[in-house]
Amino acid sequence: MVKRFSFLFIVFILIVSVMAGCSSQAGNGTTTGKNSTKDTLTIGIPDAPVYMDPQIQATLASYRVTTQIFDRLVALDDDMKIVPALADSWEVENETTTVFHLHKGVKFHNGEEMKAEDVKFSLERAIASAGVNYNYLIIKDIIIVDDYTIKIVTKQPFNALLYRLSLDAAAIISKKAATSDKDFNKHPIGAGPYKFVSWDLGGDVVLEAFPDYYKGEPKIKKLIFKHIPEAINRSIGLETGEIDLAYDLAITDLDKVKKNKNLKLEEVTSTTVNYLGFNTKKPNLDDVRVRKAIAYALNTKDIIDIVFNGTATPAHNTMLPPSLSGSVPDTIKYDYNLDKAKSLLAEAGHPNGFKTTLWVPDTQVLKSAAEVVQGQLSKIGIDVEIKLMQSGTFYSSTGKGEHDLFFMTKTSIDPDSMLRAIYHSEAFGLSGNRSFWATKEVDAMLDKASQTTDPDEAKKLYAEVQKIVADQVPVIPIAIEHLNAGMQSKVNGFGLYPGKTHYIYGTHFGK
Amino acid sequence: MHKFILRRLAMLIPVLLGVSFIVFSIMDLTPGDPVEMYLGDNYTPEAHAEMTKELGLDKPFIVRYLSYIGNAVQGDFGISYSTKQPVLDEILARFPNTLVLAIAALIFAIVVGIILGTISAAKQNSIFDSMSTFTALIGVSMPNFWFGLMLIIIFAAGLGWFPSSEFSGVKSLVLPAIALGTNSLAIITRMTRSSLLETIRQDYVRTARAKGLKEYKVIIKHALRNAMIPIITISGLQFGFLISGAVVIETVFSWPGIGRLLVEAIQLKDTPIVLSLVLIKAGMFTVINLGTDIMYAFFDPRIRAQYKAKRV
Repeated sequence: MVKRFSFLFIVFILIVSVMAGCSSQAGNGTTTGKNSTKDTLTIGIPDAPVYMDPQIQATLASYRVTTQIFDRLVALDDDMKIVPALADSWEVENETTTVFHLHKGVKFHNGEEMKAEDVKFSLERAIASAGVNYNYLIIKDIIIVDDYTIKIVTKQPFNALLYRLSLDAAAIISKKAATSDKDFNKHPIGAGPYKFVSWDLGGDVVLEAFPDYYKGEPKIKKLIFKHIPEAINRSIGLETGEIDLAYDLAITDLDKVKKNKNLKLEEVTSTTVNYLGFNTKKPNLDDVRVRKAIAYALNTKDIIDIVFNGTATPAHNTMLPPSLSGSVPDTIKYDYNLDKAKSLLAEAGHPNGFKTTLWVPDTQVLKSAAEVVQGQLSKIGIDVEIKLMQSGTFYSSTGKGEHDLFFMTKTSIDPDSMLRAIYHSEAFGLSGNRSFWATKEVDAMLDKASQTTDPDEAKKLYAEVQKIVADQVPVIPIAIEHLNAGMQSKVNGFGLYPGKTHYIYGTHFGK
Repeated sequence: MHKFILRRLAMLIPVLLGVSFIVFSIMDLTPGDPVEMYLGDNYTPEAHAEMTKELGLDKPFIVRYLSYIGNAVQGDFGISYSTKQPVLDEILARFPNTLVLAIAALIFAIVVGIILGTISAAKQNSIFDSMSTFTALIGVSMPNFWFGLMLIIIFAAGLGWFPSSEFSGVKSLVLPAIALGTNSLAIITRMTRSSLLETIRQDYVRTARAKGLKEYKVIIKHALRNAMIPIITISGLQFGFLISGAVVIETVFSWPGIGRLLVEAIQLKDTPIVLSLVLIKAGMFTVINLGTDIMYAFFDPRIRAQYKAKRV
């Protein structure tokens, strides 16, 4: 007996000592607050980053970290306007060539100076990487003029180039670091405001301020990205002070954060559009009258109130969110009107409705949206069966066109990538056009809009496209999500970026 | 005895083969494209074809299965689809975290479980006994993720005694260990109670009482000691459950262990990680079972004698 208890005692001592080891390790610097001059910002993120190398795969979770490490040639500000970054200025030489003038004296985290060679290397590396090159295959050539001047030549005239160059995959990386023996994914070197410090598998990512950042040293000296998968734990973490900033709080927790004196909430309309789509290759759904009937039968306001607790912006019959240039709301309106919906259905030969399926990825928001749609369509006799599935399954099976109705989201920062993915015939299937609807006319207009160097002409073409697709309704844009971040009230200067990869530089504690 | 252990260890092979085949088939049959997970949202068809080939997904099912098994036997569990890191590194980096959590939960369950079980057996049919029966019933029936959330809301958000999603030090271990261990605690409490009630009625306990020993000495020295064997057995089995049961609790408490890794890997359809984790868990479960069987023989001379007599 005594022996057995002493055995248990030894086990207990062992565990305590193991944990003491853990705690002293984590105690080094990761203490959240309480020290007099606070300069560490702990950020609760919903998904774990996967790569520190931004050119392996385009994933939001990774980019939320790497966007602090790597700057690009140009950037988008919080209002989605292009602003200079590593390139001070640029001019269009001819319709396929843009010349960029690099900022002089920019240092990478390894102390090397950024030159045109690094830019060429970085962009060519992105073009060579299957996981991110989708947006860059349009680039034909990158020509070094001198150390601080570089020309980018596209295969065709292409006016969304600057947007593409602002994306995280177009990160400018140190050629020397990326060509050394060290695994770049474990030792990422960029020219951004924060240097990479450590990233344990399954653990926190730690970054520290880069003193030689070309826009000035960041005020917050250390960033800790903490993976907290449950939304409720992120808001509790804010309440207990364990974290200073939390991304993507649950809609149901927002009021609680707003009412807490020590906390504050920031919200912004994102560029993520929730939409209901039709597989126009399926019987019934190939009839535009049926699609219009469904559009009239949907009550957007109810969907927003029920699914998003009122915190979403109606999409107003266009896939382009208001923050994107060229957005034209309500070219055609489908205000909630059951009589009109029923008569359109009758006209199409379904006076008593029909049976169909609605495919949706298994996430809280999309699932409840599907349920509301199901309820609303039952009022015009359409009997909807919801097919809930894992995201991966959803993307591949809808990509193959196995579905009838589908509900999903699309995020974009420029009109071309949004409209092309949803309506162009070249994007059929996995690339984004899951309604399999396209016309030569729209294809041609989208191509022309992306090639013209005249912004007004592009806007006119996009307006025309929005009108045609609003009339043909291959998809019904429903709501634009709001992004949120909760933070301690002493955190200031943080700007929510509608594109979701929030930039910490500029954030500080106190006034 | 050695033969017995060897035979039981040999049984591991068909078990692991069966488990791996089932999991491999399920992962293969569920729709969803791992290549898409690998490449992200946007990619060209050429990139998709190339990656399919690189991951060996263009080969028939049985070829892929056999090559996985062949590599796994040599300790190569493949490369994670989602992170491109060796699967073994991914798992080994997180396994100690799960182990610490499971051990802490087990200690909590054993210590509290034996104390509660002993008191309720010694004071059978008292209010305390009913209360402990009731608590045990709740402990067994309550879903642990819900209990975990309640603990977080009360003790982290409300009272601020413990962190809600820290991963450092003993303090951060308290809530997840309680949430994870409560189910086992309930089982151990019930087992202690019934086993002790059985031994309390034995002649030698009556003898001890007749000698004039104090009641607590009778219970602890004479009765509990003899009642320990089934308790040890059940505790060993619980350990296996705790390591595999940490899946949900780890997600609730943001605990970076293999349970959370498994949840994330399933969502990403990261077959190499899912398969290896399930294999490791199945293997551990079998070994722990074997361990408790051996312990049983070790603690109970009658069973040991049986093995010797049969010369197994």
